[in-house]
Amino acid sequence: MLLLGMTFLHPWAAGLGVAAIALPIAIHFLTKPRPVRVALSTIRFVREAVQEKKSRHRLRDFLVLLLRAAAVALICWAFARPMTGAKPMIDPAAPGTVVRVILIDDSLSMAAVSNATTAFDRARTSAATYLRYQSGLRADVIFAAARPMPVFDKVSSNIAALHDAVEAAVPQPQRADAQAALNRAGGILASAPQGNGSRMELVIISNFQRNNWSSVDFSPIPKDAVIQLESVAQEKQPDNLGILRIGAKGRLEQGREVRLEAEIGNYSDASRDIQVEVDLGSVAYHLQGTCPPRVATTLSALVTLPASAGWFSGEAKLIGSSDALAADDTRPVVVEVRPFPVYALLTRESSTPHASSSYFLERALVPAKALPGTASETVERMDPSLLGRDAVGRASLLVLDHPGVLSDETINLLATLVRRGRGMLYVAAEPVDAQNLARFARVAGEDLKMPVEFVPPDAAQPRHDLFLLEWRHDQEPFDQLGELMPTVAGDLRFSRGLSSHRLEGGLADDVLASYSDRSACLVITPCGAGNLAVLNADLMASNLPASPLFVPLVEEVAGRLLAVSDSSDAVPCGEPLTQYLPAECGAASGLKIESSAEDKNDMGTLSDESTGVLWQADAAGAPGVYQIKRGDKPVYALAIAPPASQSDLQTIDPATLTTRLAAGRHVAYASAGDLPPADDAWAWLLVACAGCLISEVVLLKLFPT
Amino acid sequence: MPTKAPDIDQRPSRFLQIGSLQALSHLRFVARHRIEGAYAGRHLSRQRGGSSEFVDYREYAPGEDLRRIDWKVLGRTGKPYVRLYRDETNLRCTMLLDASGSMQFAGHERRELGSKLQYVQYLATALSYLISAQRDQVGLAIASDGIVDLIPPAGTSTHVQRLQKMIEDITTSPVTNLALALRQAFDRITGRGLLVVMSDFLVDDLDAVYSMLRLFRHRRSEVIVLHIVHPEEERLPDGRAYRFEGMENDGLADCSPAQVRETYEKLFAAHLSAVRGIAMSAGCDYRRISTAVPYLQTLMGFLVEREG
Repeated sequence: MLLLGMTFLHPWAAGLGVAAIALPIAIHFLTKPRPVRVALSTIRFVREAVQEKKSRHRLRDFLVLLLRAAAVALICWAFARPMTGAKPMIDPAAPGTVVRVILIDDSLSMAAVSNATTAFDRARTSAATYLRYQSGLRADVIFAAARPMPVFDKVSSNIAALHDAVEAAVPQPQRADAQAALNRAGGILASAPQGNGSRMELVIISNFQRNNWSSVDFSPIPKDAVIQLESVAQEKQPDNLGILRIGAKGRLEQGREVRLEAEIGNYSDASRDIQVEVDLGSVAYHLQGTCPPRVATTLSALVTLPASAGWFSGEAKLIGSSDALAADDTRPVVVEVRPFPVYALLTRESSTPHASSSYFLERALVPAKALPGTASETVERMDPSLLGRDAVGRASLLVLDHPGVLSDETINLLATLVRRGRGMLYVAAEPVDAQNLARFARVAGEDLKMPVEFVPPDAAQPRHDLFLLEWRHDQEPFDQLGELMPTVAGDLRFSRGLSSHRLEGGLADDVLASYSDRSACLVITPCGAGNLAVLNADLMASNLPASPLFVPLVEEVAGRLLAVSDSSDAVPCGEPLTQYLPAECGAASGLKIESSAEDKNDMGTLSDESTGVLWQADAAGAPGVYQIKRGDKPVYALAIAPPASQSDLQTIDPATLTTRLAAGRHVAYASAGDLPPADDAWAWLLVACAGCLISEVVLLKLFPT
Repeated sequence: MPTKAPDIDQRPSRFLQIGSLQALSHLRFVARHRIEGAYAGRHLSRQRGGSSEFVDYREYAPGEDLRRIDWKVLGRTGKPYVRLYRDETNLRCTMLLDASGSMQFAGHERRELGSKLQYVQYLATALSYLISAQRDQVGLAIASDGIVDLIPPAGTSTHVQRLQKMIEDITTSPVTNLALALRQAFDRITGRGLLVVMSDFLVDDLDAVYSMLRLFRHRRSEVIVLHIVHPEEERLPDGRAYRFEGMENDGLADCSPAQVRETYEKLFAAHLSAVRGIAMSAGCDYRRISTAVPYLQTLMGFLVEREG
């Protein structure tokens, strides 16, 4: 019996106590003296005196009655032997046939150290209390990380094996998919053979981190099962700092200056001065700044990449931090420093230097010729009809200008490259370009959602002397052009090109500039892992190439297309891994996977697919840098890191679990920090009873009758 | 002039205890102020004239009665002087008895004392007997919600018998208005006699009573206030709970006497002081009479005190 948060050893006495409150009240009224009726001539003075004393005596009588009732009730409750502290819904020592599933959260947050022990250590201890040998007990243990891992497929009476599994378990650098674990637990409980009088119990031992448990639903658990939530979280959330993301922004090319960024989560109550050291190969970069409490802050610095191209891997780590979770103080990092970009200019126009659209583009892409003997950006002109897969695969950026009618093969190749991360700039000038783009969109399928459809211009309404009506000044490339754009844009005039009309499902924000006839001028939209940019302009029928805007505009568009195809964050541990390798990696044969991680068990497999080599694993492995090598040369690298969500150790409100998320199940919540039920409250109740009686005496002395 | 005791065999009143009153026959009920009487008597009259007891001489003033000139003095001195005598008259006493419900209070512990009304009946009967025995006139007014009965003062034995019978037959009324009764008595009693008010003065408006007493005093009547108090009125009874019932449609009051005793006693003492205060300030002779004291003893003390 639960009353006022207490359980009672003899509940009947507690009930008696509640009833006994009425006893003094009844006695008070039953023993109230029956007044003697007497005639009195001076009743006026009696009435006056009574009126004067009435309120005072009423208060005294009420207090006396209250104290007496309290004293009687307290005595009864003392006899009921109250047990302070929450009584768990599941009694591990209760006899009978029991089917018990113990779900242990072994996500990374369970490794958080507090008071010199990890939450998982406490979970292990707590689990042991539910795994005491007992006849009639059949149990199973499920470890809940990114994927639920039951020790047995069904409940077993081999309690010793479960013990051993719990002892051997360690927290995984993964999130906990709590819902998947509950689904599994529900399945095991439902499939367990039920006997007469057998009980179904689910014990969940976790720190109930909010990020893992905020959206669970207990409905997969059988309705007649009781659910005991055992929290091993500390009452006060431990302070934690973590590197949530590390990456570089910009064109990651050899020797180029880029912005190195580290997102730091400060999950403490105070601002912290943070210093991050990023080791990339033999180079170390430092980021520092102040992180306000309870938020994620991005620290950044402009750094110059190494002069040589290649895959650089290393580790970012917090300097001088001491917090609850050490695993998120470091994060593997991989950066591919690309060589100077090679622009594949696909055009049918002549390569001889003369005023042509492709010439203007070539000059805009590489404005200055490199000095002899030095590496630099290059433009490789290619005839679309003679396109080689390897040649175009080496290109950093695909630029199409007056390509004519593209073959299906070429369209397929281009779509594959773009979907796998390559950028493509299509300068649309002729009606045939509209067909090419439409076919490209069809091949790209769901990976491409064009905001507009380009169509040949209507012969009745020739496009002539168009000007720029509007452009997205807050987005690349226009945000990089500063005051140049509004100064020059008014003088620009465009003719020919393609008409366009809006498409359903496309993102209007991808249209970055529009003409005066409302047709799109510049569109940049994602396509798979890459980006497609369409500049709707016949450069020869426009004064754009002659304007000071042309070179910076083309450079910024190219920069955006190149930048996006570069930096990527780490893959979270434990999550399914599906990664297409870059085209230059070649076939899967001869490739091998190497890891810097300590655990090299499941590094996945490489397979040849129609669109390239696919790296696949059921679950990403331990944190570290994974490299795909052909021979000794790394051709691809990937960082696998703990999920950033694990750094925030904030726990979910227990009431949410036991009410809103309980789905009508019997859910009890207990904290490992709670004291076991104590049986010493009866003494205090007796003391309180004595206090009531003494107070009554004092009251009667102070207000005598 | 020798006094003749009334025929005691003819007294029908049960409150008349002649045998006991014989012990008081040597005492006289006297007025302290000059009064107006109908006949010659032993009491100082407000008139000064040709009575028996010489007091002084005064020079004759023209216009005075020539018969009052002392011719012998005129012969000796050659100047006319008038002889002054102290005039004595009989007493015209009216007893105003309170017949309100509260006068029925007899207590509940010492029932043998009887009610305040009974006490007053004994006292008034005895007083009327003594007054008539000393050849004075006695009248009676019964007061409840105004004057119920009034007999003007007279001295015949028949009158006194009737008066005593009336005293015997007094019944109380639950409604009392002593001030109104005094007012009506004032209107109906002529002359400057003596008024004896016997009451417990448990009235709502003491100030009105005070005004009426002042009215009598303004007429130069002598007023004696006999404040009747039952001993059980002075102190509430012991016991755990009582339901006190008012005697003049006052309703009920439940209480534990212990809780209110102290306050009650203060309030009652204040009431006694208030009655005494208004009597004294109105120029009345005030005497508080406890029914615990036998009425003969009270009467004797009262008469002795008045005789001085």
